[in-house]
Amino acid sequence: MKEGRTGKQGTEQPMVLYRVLRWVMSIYFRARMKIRFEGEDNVPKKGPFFLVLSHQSDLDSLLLHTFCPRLIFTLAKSSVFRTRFMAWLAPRVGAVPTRRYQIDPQSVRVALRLIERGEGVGVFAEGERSWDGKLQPLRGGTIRVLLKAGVPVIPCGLVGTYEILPRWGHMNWFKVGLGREPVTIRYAKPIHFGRHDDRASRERARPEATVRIEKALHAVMAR
Amino acid sequence: MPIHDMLYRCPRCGHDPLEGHKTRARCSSCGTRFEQGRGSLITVRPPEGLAEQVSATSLLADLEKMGGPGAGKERGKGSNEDSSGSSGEHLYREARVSLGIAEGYEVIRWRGEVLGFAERISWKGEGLIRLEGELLTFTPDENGAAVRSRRAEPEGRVEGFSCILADIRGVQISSGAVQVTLEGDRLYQFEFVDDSAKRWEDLLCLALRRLYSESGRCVIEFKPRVVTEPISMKSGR
Repeated sequence: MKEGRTGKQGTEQPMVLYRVLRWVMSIYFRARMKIRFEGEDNVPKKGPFFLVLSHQSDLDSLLLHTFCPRLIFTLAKSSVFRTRFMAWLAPRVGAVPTRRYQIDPQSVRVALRLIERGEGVGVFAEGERSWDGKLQPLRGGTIRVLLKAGVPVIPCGLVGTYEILPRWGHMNWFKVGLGREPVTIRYAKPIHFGRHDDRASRERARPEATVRIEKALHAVMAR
Repeated sequence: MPIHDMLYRCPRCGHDPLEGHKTRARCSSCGTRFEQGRGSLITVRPPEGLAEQVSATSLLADLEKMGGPGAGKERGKGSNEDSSGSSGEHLYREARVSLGIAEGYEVIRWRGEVLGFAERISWKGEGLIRLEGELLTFTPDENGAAVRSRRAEPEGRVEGFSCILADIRGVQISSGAVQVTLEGDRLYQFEFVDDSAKRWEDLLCLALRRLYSESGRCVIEFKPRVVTEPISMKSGR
């Protein structure tokens, strides 16, 4: 990740393809859904942050990458990168592979490196999509990374995506126009946990941090 | 993922399994039909009476009350009387699967730097997966049959394997397949031919919960690895 020119939206990377696809997808999603934004001011215009998301639908990462006020990198399951095309495309639109079936130190390193460079990194703290639209337990490893980084943590909820495309359902991608389904992308105020460099400190802070993030995610997911 | 992968038994009468295709499922015992309705609601059509819109949450709760993943005596089938709800019961189930094993990784690079790794899955062929008590086994088809789905020929010779549940390091579902991680981060991926991947994830998690509860521990995470803690700590919170 060499440094490029400073982008308009805060990232150090030019990421031309990412910006073009954001524009194309925003046209599609606006035609397909009635999208509302709440709390966008909570996303800093500059500097690093973690966006912690609830995961209810395949649409979540697409909508986030399209509409987040800053270009954002998110951790995506490694199986997404298995085909040659996706292995080429996904990194160009801000996806970072993470092996979900084991502890993946490389994805943690990359996430922290991006944070050091002042980027925004999105994580689905539950680790997988919900079956019933409810928040699932947050993964302990994710909370540890947030505490290690010590940057603002912004809980984000995408309300309405489960109703359009639940994990067990199918969506008509060609349906646009009338009867657009509502989706709200809601950002909470940043939570500051401070930096916890040593493991013991992270373990002490983890239970309380988990509770605070869960509470904030419940609030942003409220319909 | 098809609706009957989530509703792997009938939430109305408990019959196991539901038959279905994509957004529709039907219970062959009571005749109730389940269809993806508006949004995330499921339209439940009983054989007699009016259809109703029910949330997936409530149907999943009904399923849980009926014993969750269940345990079947026959291949790919469940039986109500053999519900695995009580903790003392012997878990048994088998199903046809395609077996994949992670053999190496693709390195994902971007602008010359290593961004991460994506596992390379080698498909080994079809066979039977069986959970019996504390033992999980895979028996390949005798004739080494080609994988029925999109993969024409199995890659390399497939050998059966068996492991005890205590050797399992992680269990998770990924795109309709169940991934089981064993010691040394060896990853086995099972794609189910005629059973629900979610049921098998639930079943393996239930089996692991029981295993660890016998030694006074409870499982707090199944992925990326199984993490346990003493039951006293959990109840003390």
